[in-house]
Parts: sequence; structure tokens; C-alpha cells
Amino acid sequence: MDIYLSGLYSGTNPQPGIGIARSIRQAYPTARIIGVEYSNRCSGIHWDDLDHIWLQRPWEELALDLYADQIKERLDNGAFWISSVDLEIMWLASVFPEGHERLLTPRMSSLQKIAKPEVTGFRELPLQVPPFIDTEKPDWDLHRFCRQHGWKVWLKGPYYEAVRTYGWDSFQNVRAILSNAWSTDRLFLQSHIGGYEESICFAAYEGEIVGSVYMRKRELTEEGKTWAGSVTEVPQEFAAGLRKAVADLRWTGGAELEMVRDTSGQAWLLECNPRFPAWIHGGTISGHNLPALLIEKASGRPSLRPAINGNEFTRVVLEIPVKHDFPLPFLPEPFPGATGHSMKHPAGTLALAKRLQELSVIEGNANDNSDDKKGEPVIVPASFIEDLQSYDFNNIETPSFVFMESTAASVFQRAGRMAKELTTKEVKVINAYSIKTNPDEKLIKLALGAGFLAEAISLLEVQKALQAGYRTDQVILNGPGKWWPNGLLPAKPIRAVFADSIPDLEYTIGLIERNQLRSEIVGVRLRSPGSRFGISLETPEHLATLVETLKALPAECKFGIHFHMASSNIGVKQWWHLYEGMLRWARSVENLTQRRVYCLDIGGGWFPDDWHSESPDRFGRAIQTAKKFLPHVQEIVSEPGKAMAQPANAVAMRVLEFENGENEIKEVVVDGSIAELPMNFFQPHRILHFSTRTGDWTPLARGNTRLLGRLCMEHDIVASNVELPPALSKGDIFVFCDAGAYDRSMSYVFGRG
Amino acid sequence: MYLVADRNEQWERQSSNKRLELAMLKWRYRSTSVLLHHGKACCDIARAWTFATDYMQLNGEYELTAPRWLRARYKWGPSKWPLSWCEAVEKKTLDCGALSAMSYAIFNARGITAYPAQLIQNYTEQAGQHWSANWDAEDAPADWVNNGLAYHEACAVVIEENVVKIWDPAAACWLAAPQFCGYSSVLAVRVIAGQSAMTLSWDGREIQCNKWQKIELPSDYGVAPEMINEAMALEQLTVVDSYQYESAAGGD
Repeated sequence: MDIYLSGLYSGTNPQPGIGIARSIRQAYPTARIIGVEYSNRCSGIHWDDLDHIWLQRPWEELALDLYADQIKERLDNGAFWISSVDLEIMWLASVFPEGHERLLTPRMSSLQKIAKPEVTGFRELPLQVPPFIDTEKPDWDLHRFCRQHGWKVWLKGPYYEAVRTYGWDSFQNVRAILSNAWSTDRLFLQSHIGGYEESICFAAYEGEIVGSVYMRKRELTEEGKTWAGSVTEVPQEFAAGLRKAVADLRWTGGAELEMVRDTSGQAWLLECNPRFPAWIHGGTISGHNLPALLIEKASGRPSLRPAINGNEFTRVVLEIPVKHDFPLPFLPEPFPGATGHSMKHPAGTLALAKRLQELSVIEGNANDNSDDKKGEPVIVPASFIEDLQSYDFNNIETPSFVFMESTAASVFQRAGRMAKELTTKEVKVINAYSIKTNPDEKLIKLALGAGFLAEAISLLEVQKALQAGYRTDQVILNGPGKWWPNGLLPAKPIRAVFADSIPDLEYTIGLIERNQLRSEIVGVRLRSPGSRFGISLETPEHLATLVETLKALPAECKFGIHFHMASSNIGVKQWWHLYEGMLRWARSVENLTQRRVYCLDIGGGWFPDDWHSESPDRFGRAIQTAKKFLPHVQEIVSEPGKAMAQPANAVAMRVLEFENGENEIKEVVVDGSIAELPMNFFQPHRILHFSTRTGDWTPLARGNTRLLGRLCMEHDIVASNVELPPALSKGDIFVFCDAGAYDRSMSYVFGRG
Repeated sequence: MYLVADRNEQWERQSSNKRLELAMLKWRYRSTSVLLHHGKACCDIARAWTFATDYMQLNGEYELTAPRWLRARYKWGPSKWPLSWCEAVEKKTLDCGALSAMSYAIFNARGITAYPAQLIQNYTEQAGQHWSANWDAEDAPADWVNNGLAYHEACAVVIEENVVKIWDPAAACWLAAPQFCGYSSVLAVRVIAGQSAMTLSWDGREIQCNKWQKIELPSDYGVAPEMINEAMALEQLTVVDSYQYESAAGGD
């Protein structure tokens, strides 16, 4: 009996071929096992259980039709074929759409129902699929997804590879790398699920399960691959659903359902691999030889039953002799100045992915051009267009910030209304405008009109607030440099001051004692995890020091507690957890000092969509929670930060030049730059095109063009992968919305002489 | 001088049921560790800090997520008893008794019912020698080591009615099957709950509270009996009787 096995790679992220060979050898000592490989760099070809190696050229060199004929001939002559390479399995499914009785891999119809990330074929199992989003969606939506999931997200390729992305810049970098590597933009972002990894592995023939095991990982490699595991029977909760799903899929071959079980006990399905896992021989060690059962079912020839050697397995590293027929290839010369030998994918796996896309074998889309990155256009609020239409963009000076008047007014008014609605007899809710977010006097005045307090981080900002019409008793002073510059501290009482450190608290108390500072509320900023600001509570000694220092706070001062963390950085859910965590700290401080917390000041750094889409109920519950932890609190100050300022400005920039490529424009140079969009690396901007010819406004979708800034700086790329409107002209305008917060306040003068 | 084979044989003999029986006898009156409270602000601050830090460390995850941060903050090693909350939080090293006491308090502060748990674990004579030397060097009693077995403290956390998981704060892991034979395995357990008649389920096993009881091998354990370490191939390891819990003091 001839059995062909592919997927022999045997590094730290191994393919299953060697494990399958070992298992089959135990069950069929006289079978002829033929290893199939596409590179002589693959160490698995030297494994002793392989009687013969059918070495192919790498996939980019293979004549696929000829290769298909050669495989068919072998199958027709009675050989069996177990593939362990996902892309090879897809290709074989296209060659044999209805399968072959000795081809022990799933059909195309089966594969289509296990495509990542939904894995629809196993919906009947008690599993959940982690939330995901297709990266063809607009960047605006992708950023929202990441915030919603606290930046605990993975960017995953369509076949292999998953990279954790912790921020927008890393996401953009990894997206470019994966898209180029796999010749597709069809990636997806998926929420991270923390927990313990486990798998169900089964072998089936024509929809009938012939064996299955349940494996829990006990040791993992740095890449998260199994190094040791425990193997048991498939739990009852899965057994019936698995049988039905496999029958419905008419599955043939091995398969592995990769799962994570979270700490609540819920199992999450990450993916279904259409083949045996690399740890498959661990199952055989525990008495479940699934490859042999598969061969037995397909061939009708009984296999030797495996010995049971416990229900745990582990890996070791072995040195083995190299087969004389396949001497080791020489190492390629390292690139000058580079590290390593650049030998990834010697079997041509990336080339196979590209070829399969060209053949429309994968992704099921005949017109999928690998260079095509077109996506859905972003949705831009109607108020943006209305605001923009009030400007004469044919004659506007560029680059320039554009004030979105009605948009800005509406967000401030809404926030003011909400504060009033949340105010109760016991607790007054009031907003504060963080001047540093955007010190534009127009915004400060809008804030004042909407009933906001002014939050300043320097005495210069205090002066700015006063000039805009604020009274001193409407000003909150915060941050580590709040007393700078000397001599500008108002003589009249201010609303509140929050100390940023123990020395700052001592200094503040000293000012009060010397009658140099009058403040209705004196409080402390508590440090959030990962922040450099506020009073640290990292050790019990820190807490004890704070408690001791607060004893010196004059009794007539109302006491307040402030914390700040940008929800856009840590995610909305994390932010609410942080909120409750800070309430616990505040309660502890209150209990330990016997100083009643009168004021709670909450800094948010909210992304506008998150703040404006959060329901009033959520904020209402937050007020109730605050009251539960701090029963004496009478004033809650909310600082929505960039949620107010970000939509208030856009940046207009003009097209300077572009070059028509073969089919489309690849690069456009504009007169704007990262000097006007310093947050470009940290957040997406919705981009509108204004045609100076027609006067039409068009939101840009994802495409293949880069917008290059005017600066002679390599990284001055203001947008990557945008789709240009059909007729672009020199002098046309691109408007980058959502630039009213730190883009505006941190923009700098560069390249202007 | 002795032959390795002789020594192995001797070891196997010692790793018998009798060894465990003797250990349970030795530790029958051993109480779980309790952190003292001075009744002053010092210990109030220590507890407040512990619970507030724990909430922050949960990071928005499910509340049954174990307080692994404790072990990240405190190295495992000798503690001198008695130990108070204000002393414990300032240490760099804590023994399993202190870590378990803090874990127990943390779970309860989260609103989760938890009980102190005592374990007897199977190690080697040599491991015991090293531990004894380390504890002696810190002038802490190493009476938790006995002939290759170790008395250990953990935390039984109720996950649903009468069902517990056991958190080992020193190893920072949940204890479960199939760790019931061989090196570092749990040979016996005693969960300390107020009502002596209460029975809890742990990983499919019935645990009667406040009694030392040996652990039965899972029925589906995949190893032939003759292959199991003799220390675990004891007679059927059902609930042996039991040494009623009495109050005392200690920790590893």
C-alpha cells in the first residue's frame, strides 16, 4: 500500500507530515510511505519513516496541470494521499471537485464552509466565534473595531499568519506586510480571546467520523504552537454536534478545530484546519491513531492498534542523519547589511497563494486581481458636507485648517444637554473643555456657551480661558506643569486644582496655607495604569504616603479626585473597567483619610464616535455607580477631550502633481503634510475629494493610491491605499476630516522657510 | 555506597501509600495560614491597596480570572509567621500560605465564595532537601516538607453551586486532572469550610470539606496501573478517613 504524505516541514512551527508518517508506520509497518515536498530545505524529508521522497520543484516552478495528472495517476493506481498543506488542499479540491476515493482531503464544498473567520460548518457546536471585521471595510470602521475591543486584536491572513496589533501604526504596517505577502487585501481583524488553548481533532471519511480526540495545550512555543498537550476523549458537549456537522459537510480527511476556552468556561472557535494538526502523533501516543483509522476506513485494511502510553505527550528536538539522496543545500548569501539568509517559504507557498488566486481557486472570486485593494467608501456625516460647502474651495489657501462650524456647535450643545439631563438633586454633572486639545478661541467660546468648565494645564491656558470669557471660578487647573509660568496665578478663587504628585500636593497645600491660592476644590489626580501622570498607587507605601499627606489638607477645602486615561488608546470596555477601578481607589482614599470626596473629575480622551454613540443610559449608570462607591460626591466633572474638538476642524490640501501609471494613478503629491496631520500615524481620517471642475464632493474608499505630502521626508505620506475619484485634476482639493483635536493643536511649521 | 538500583527500590518503597498516610497524620492538625490584622490603619491600607490593585489588574476580564498578579509581584519563598497584612504586602517573597491567604481574601472581596485548601504534593526527597535548606537559611520552619512530600496551601474557588476549582497561587495555575500522579502531583486535599458536612465537587471528584482525603485517579486515565508511579498506584484512592480539621498555624 502506497501512502503519499505532504507537509513535512519540521521547524518550530511544524507541518503534520512527520507525525502522520510516524502514526501510519506504527499501524501499517509494511506500507510504503512516500513523502512529498517542494523544497530540499525541508528537514522532514530526512525522517526515517519515509520510504521514499517524491521531491517537487517549488510551487512557482510547477506545471500545475502536469502535476495534477501525475497525482491522479497515482491515486487511480491505488495510492492514498494525505495532504498537510492548506493551500495544497485547496488546489487539490479544485483538481478533484468531487473528490477521489483515495484522496483523503476535503472537497471544495467542505472547504468553503470552514473559511475563516466565520467557520459556518461548525455552527451547531457550542462554540462562539470571536468578533471580527473584514479589512476591506473603511479604516474608520477598523479603528472603531479596535477601540471597541481595547486594541486586543489580531490581524489575520486568509490562510496563515496572525499578528497581534497594539495600535493604529502597527496595524497599518502589518496590514501592508500581510497583504503583500499573501497577494490579497482580504485580511480580517479578530478580537483576542484570553484563555487556554484546546483542539478537537478528527478523521472522517465521506462524512463519517472514524476517530476523534480532544487536546489541551500544556506547553506552547513562543509562536503559540503546541509543544506538549494532554489528550482525552472529545467532551460530550461537542460529540453529537460534531458528528452532525461532519456528516453535513461530507468531510473526508483530517481536521482540527482550534479553540480557546476563556476563564468563564466559554469555548471560542478560532479556525478549522482542513488537515491533521502537527501534534497528531501525540494522539497516537495516547491510543488514538487517527491517520491509521482514516487509512483503514478508506482502504478496508485493518491497522495495528496503538499502545496506550498515558494521555500526555511532549516534543523534543532530535538530530537525525541527512539522507544521501538529498544533501543539504547551501545557504544563500545574506543581503548586504541584513541579518539572516532570507529563506522564508522555500517551497514557494506565497507563490502558490498567488497562483491559486489567479486561478480563482481561492476566495471564490474570478475577478480578484491581487493588486486590487478597492473597498467600501467611508460614510461622512451630512453636517461635514454642509460645513464644507460654506467655503470657496476653488480659492481657498492651502494647506489650511477648516473650521466645521455647525458640526462643532452641535457636539458642544449635545454634551451640554446631556450633562443637564444626567444631573440629579444629589449630583451635579458638568462638562469641562480641555484647552490643550484645541486652544482655538472659537471652541473655547462654544464650550463656555454650552456650560462647560475650562480645564487648563498651565497658567497660560488659564489666561486664554479668561480672555475667552471664563471666570476664574470656572477654571480647573491640572497636570504636572500647572504653575507655569510664574506670576500668572489668578488672585480670585479658581474652581478646582488637582495635584499631580505628592510634592505637587505638598506645594499646593503650602500655597493655600500662605493664602497664595484660593480654590473651591483641592484634589489629587490618581495615576492610571501605564500612565506617567498622577499620584502613583503602585505600592502600599505609595497609598500610605498619599493618606498621610492628605492629612495636611486644610479642612475647609472640598476634596476631589481626578483620573484620566484616553479611551481611544485603551478601548471603551477597558475604559469603563478603569472607571470602576478608580472608584474603588477613590473609596479607599476616602475611607482611609476620612476626607469625603466632594468632586470626581473624569478625563476621557474619548474618540468622538465612542462618546457620542454611548447611550445616555450608560452614562446614567456610571453616575449611579459613582454614587454607590462615593456616597458624598456632589459634583462629577466629565472631560470628553477630543470627542468635542476632533470633528471641529478639517485640513484642506491641494493636488500638486500626479503621474498616470499603466492603468491608474499610484501616487499623488499634495501641498499638505504630516506637519498639519501629526496624528496621522495614530488615527484614521475620513477623506473627501473636492473636484474643482464639477464642485462634487466624494468620500474616498480604500484603493491603490498613496497621497504624498509636500515635505522632503520619507515618512510624509498622508494617506495610503485610497481610491481616487475617476477624474482627478491638478488643483483639486482633498479634505482630511477629524483633524480638530491634536492634529490641530500639535501641528507644526515645517518646510515653509 | 549504594547502587542506583537499590536506591530506586528504596525510594519506590517509600513512595507508597504509607508515606502519604504518615504525611496526613503529620499534618492532621495543621491549620491554613491566616494573615493578622493589627486593627490599625497600617493593615487597613494594606488590604485596601490589595483589593483595589486586584480590581485594576483584572483588566476587564471575567471575575473568576485568578489573581496571577500576586505571583508576578511576590516571589515564592520562606515567610516568617505570624505575618500581618501590612507586613505581607511589603515583602518581596511570600510562602504559599501567605499567597493563599491573600488570594482567598481577594476572591471574597470580589464577591466570589472561596475556601482555603490544603494539599499534599508529591515531589522528591532531594527537592525537600533544597527547600529545607532555603527555609532554614531564612530561619523559617521547613516542617511542610516530609520525606519527598510537601504540604501546600491553595484556594478552592466556588464556580457554581458546590463546584470548585483549586487555584495554586504559588504556581500561578489551576490544579486539575491529570496531575494526580508523579512529580508535583496532588496526592491529598483538605478544603476548609465552616460546615464540616459540606461536600464539594472538584474536577469531577467529591471532596468532603474539612477532611484530608486522598485523590482517586480519573477512571479514564490512560496509563496502565503498572506504569503508574507506585506512590500513586495505591489502593483505590477513595476518601480515606480523615483527620478532622483543627485549628493551628503554618504555611510552606
